[in-house]
Amino acid sequence: MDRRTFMMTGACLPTVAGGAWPWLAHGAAHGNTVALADSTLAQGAALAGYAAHRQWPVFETGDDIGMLWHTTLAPLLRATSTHASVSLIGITRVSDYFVLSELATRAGHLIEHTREQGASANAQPAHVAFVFAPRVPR
Amino acid sequence: MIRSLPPKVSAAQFERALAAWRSIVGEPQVVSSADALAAYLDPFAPGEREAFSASAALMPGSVDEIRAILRIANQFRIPLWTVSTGRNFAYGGAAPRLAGSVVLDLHRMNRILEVNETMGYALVEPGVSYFDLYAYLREKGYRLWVDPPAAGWGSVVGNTLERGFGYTDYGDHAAAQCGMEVVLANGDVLRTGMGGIEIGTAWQLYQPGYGPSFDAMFMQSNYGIVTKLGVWLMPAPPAYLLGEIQFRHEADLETIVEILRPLRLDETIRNHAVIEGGLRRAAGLSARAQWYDGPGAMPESAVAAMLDKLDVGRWNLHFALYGTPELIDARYAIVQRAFARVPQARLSATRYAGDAQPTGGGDRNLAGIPAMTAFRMLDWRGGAGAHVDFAPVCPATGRDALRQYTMVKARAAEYGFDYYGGFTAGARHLHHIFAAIFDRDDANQVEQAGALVRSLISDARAAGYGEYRTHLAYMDFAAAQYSFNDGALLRLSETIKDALDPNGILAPGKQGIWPAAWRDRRGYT
Repeated sequence: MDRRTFMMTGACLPTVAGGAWPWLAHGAAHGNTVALADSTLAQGAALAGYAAHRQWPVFETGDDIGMLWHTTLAPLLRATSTHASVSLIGITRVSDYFVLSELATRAGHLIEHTREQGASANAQPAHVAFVFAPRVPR
Repeated sequence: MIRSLPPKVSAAQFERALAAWRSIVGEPQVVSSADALAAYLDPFAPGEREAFSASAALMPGSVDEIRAILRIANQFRIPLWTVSTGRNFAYGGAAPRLAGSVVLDLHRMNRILEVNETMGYALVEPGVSYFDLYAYLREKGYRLWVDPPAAGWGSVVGNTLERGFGYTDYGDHAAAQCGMEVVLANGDVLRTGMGGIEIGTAWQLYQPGYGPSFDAMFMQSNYGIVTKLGVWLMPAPPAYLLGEIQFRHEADLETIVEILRPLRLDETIRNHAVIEGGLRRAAGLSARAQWYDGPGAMPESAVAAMLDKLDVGRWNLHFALYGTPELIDARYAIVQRAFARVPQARLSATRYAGDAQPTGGGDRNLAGIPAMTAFRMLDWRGGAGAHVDFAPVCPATGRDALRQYTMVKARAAEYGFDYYGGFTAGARHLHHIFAAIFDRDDANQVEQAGALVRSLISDARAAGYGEYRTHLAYMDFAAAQYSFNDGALLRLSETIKDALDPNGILAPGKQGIWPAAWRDRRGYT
């Protein structure tokens, strides 16, 4: 990562999202980025704020990640990926991550880039921070 | 992960087979690297995932390609394991029963071939999910509903063939199936029922056809590859009502079932009503650690406190009434009267105009809208959530329901699991579904979940109950419980298997049915 990218992403995220995932911002440093956040999680709310600051499209997971994928994320990724590579970054609860990863990777154009799981705390469910990046044609 | 070979096939032979398959479906549609094959492992396996690993996966795009694939499989005696979209989680996902089988992944065959609004049906290929069909119907403006199972990403064909169920009046998916196209192991293509007449127009209208009816033979079996399937769809109702009745006491289950059965039999309630256990309801609203963080199953005191705090019943009956407002009013009045005799039962209901949609995932299922909210159950126990299900058929009597519940709850607690379950009501039977939720990164929990389900299958058999569906790991054991006349039923299944598939290439071991070529691979019985 060059200095400019680091300053724009990795340096900024720690202050906004608690410093836990500089790789998350790094993963989103190339091409277009779409963010997904579960705002009922403290970390998700921080990511949502950061994504808004970066003017990335940010979506709330809501209570049905499957419906969100089919009605919003998949069409958006399809439309955007025809002219640019798109990364999907996010912080969600473990169950939503499981569903999303199945849907995103089976769709073919995204592969899991990085993932980190956090334990549950303060009566909140465990979370996963992740980056899905475009599949590079071989 | 090391890539496995098909059993009894050399590496050189397998390479030749793969080359032949690449020439049929194209290089990108053949998955053979160990990394890529990880997607076909069962993430929820109650044991070693590699015990059910595939040696390759093929993704054909047409019936002709399937027939060509079968020729190669027969030539090299390589077993194939067919999946529609491979999301049969809790029962094995996309993984094959016989390690080293090649997965035949049909998700690319995803055309909705026909929708007939007048007659209320659709004809679909295996790769069509409930989300897909729902979106298609809405986009085209058809006044028809799908009947989604709990996980809407499943294949319509796959779920129907596994005898899955949903929650509307069309909740019995096998019963709402009409007409199939099937490719047999020898490559022959047949159409069941009225589909035998090429220019006919009743393939999706009349189930039996003429002479013997074979559709049921291709459900939960390994006799053929279903490539098209007709499914009846419910006409969108002018209005509907979603009702919930909360019950305070564990023992109320017996009364609930005794009241519900006559209402299902006389069709006052026509949908697959669900009697949901309190903990299952609570798990959709909170995490376990919020209520209990100790070892073993949640103590009764913690469960009671949780239910009180969340204002959730010990049992929660969800039902739906569809039709004109007048009909709904009349039927609802009957339901109210019937359940009013249960002390402390609390009934609530919401009425919807035909186009209005509820917001919660479970309620959306009752309104014919696919959802994935059921997977929130994975968060219940913490860690990397997974579950394996125990699914005995229960006679629709209060005595049987209470007996099964008590049996499962006690045994689950012995192994350190909460009772996370409920009953989905047919007219004369209940599908009792219990999920052992575990952290798949915790080896002890994985092992205990596996052992628990085996114990439950034994317990159920001792009491005269059998499973309607099981995970790969228990397919042989569950089949062995159907033991009348020294297993005559399984003997018939395997006689048919050997006649239709003499080389044993289609899904060996599925539902305990092993072809002669692989009969020595039968597992624990």
